Amino acid sequence: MDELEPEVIEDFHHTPFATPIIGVTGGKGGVGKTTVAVNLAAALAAHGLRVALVDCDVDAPNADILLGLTLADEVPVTVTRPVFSPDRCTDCGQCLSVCRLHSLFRPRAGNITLMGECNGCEACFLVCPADAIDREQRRIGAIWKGGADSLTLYTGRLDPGLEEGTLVVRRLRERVAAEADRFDIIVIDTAPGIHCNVIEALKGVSLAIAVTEPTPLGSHDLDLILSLLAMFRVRGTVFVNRADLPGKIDEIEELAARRGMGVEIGLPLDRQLLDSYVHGVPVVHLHPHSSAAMTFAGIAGRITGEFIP
Amino acid sequence: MKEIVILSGKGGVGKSSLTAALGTLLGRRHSLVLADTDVDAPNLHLVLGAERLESSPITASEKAFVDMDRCVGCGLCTDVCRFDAIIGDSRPVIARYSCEGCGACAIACPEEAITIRQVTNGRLDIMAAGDHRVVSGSLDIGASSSGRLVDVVKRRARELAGELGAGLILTDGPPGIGCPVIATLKGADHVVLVTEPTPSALSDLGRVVEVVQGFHLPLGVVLNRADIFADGRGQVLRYLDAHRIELLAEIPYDPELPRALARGELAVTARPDAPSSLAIRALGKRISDLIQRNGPGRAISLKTMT
Amino acid sequence: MKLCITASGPDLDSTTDTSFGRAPWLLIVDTDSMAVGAVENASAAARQGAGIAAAQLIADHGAEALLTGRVGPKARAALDAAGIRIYEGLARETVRDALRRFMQNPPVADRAAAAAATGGGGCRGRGPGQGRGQGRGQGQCMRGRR
Repeated sequence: MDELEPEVIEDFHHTPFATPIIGVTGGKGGVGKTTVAVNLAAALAAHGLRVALVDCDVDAPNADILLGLTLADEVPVTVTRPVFSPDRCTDCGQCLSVCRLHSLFRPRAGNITLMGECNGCEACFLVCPADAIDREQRRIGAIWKGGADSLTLYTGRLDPGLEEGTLVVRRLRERVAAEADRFDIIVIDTAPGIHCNVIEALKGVSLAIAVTEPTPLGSHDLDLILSLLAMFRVRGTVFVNRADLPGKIDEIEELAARRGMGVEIGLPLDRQLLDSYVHGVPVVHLHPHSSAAMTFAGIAGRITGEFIP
Repeated sequence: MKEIVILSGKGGVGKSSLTAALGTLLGRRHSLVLADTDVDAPNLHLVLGAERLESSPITASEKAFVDMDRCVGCGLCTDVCRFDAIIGDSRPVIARYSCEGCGACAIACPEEAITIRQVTNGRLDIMAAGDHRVVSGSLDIGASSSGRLVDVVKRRARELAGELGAGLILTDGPPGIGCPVIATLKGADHVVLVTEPTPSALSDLGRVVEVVQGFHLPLGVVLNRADIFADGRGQVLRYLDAHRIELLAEIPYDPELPRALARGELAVTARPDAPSSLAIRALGKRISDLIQRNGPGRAISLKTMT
Repeated sequence: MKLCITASGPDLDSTTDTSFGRAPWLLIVDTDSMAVGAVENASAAARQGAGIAAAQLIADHGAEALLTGRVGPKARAALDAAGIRIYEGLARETVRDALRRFMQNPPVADRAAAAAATGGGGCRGRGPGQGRGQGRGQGQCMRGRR
């Protein structure tokens, strides 16, 4: 894709609040993004900050599990669905021709039905000369809030079988934005990949931590996410998880260096980390003196020093 | 022709490694084509050490374009866009990563300054891994419409399987449950879900199971790294039991696997007697039987290699 | 009866196309007079919803039945809503031959056949050129599955 317009980049970095945002992302799935996000959030909270952790992996959200939290305060996310009134329809067929998803069907004159997928674009409403379309709200997922005191978790979930994940991420980010002033720092956990959900999740981050692992797959996918960060001019740093794996760390260092990013070699997969992972307690709390906990405390200290006035 | 799709919900549980191993094993008995629909982060070719034969751009996305000579800056386009894809105060700029190409802005524009055009959003690669072909899609950086990219990959894989007389398409799917997963499931015959014995993986498994069941597709589960956490294994087995889902295999954790991967080897061929390789071989046989076990309405049997 | 056959060209000597939504031509044959109307499928290359769009096209042209290879779930729902009968299992041959076979052995419409054949081996002729060795299934498909 061509370079982005300066307006698009500016809009991407704009937030309606002053609270700094740290994004945790990484391209490849299963490299430990959520582990890093959860433990970083816990370590920041241990520093005395009021932290919002936002799980934007609306396809497969797991931060609540790793924190051992019960989600509450559900707000459904809905999208407009058109409902056609045969009484008012003049059978002009304009809605049929503007629906670019070809989702509308007219089995008989004056009888339009939504047959296929609808992304809620509302183009049909714009062309209907007879005001014959009513709005209905269709649920596509929900967002939750949980936790207490210094660490608040916000989570979004796409309802299984639906495709509008990006909209759930957008609503989730809006909810956090509305309450951002209550926090000193926001940590965002993204989905794997480089698609629109990931881009939406990373909007306005001051720093993106790209988590990877030293395998050929990890390097390959790291390159993709670093390209995305570069495209949106996001400041990034690389965190190497599973440092015990036999792959080439120098390959990762080279990829990061090419984009002027630093590399943090952290976290071999040790017993304590696995313990924390499966028991739903951040390692920072469960084994505060483990090397993993120390690593996160160190990163939290540096982030606090840089982003918290 | 049969299409078997491998999914997991959670990423990084071993989909690509398992697809590569199964492809290699099943490829000895069946003529097959491999497909990678994880267009965000396609990895199957890396595990297989596949070589690219051809590569072409895919134009499977639509975006709005504004003719600035006609634009009068009325802002109606920004008002009607339901995807927050139009930014800018005095002149509209399309944030392409948010634009769905729905055309609402073009309808609203009184100056007819906006057109919807097709744009390239990825690439389609055809690769060779030994005797087998791999069809793989990759999303361009910053592009969208990954589901439509998946449609193209699948269509090409079917065409190629037709040309080669292959009776099986084995697809390495994307993580999650969103549009590329749904596009991957369309037209599939059987689904293999990979998971591991952790609470996160089980939670994600439950979500992808719901999606697959919505398609009324037969499914089975492979428990990878089955021995890393006994309690987690118990939870997965209880879940499968409660939902009457078939457990196809338990594959033990193999610390050699990452080393084999780093060397560009497939453990299942390099170390055929390792416990994990034996488990995958048994799984391969089981899937081979599954392919031949006919579901309703699917009577086409596989062409068997001689 | 007005029967729609999916085709790769605009006349009876064209080859059939076994996909519905993506067939370039939709031939509407009046089986009483044998008059043929050719409708170009403008949505054949649509990124999405080609099946529903094709269903709309043939419904607008008054088709009462459809003979094609395979119909996807959305197109099926649309065709059902329009009361168009679906006959799947079209083979790759000339439209003329397909029509002749259809007329000689009127097949069971899909829904009825599906109900009658629960548990039996169904048959779906699939995509163009997929089928070394698939010919065996197709004649049987056309004649229903009792």
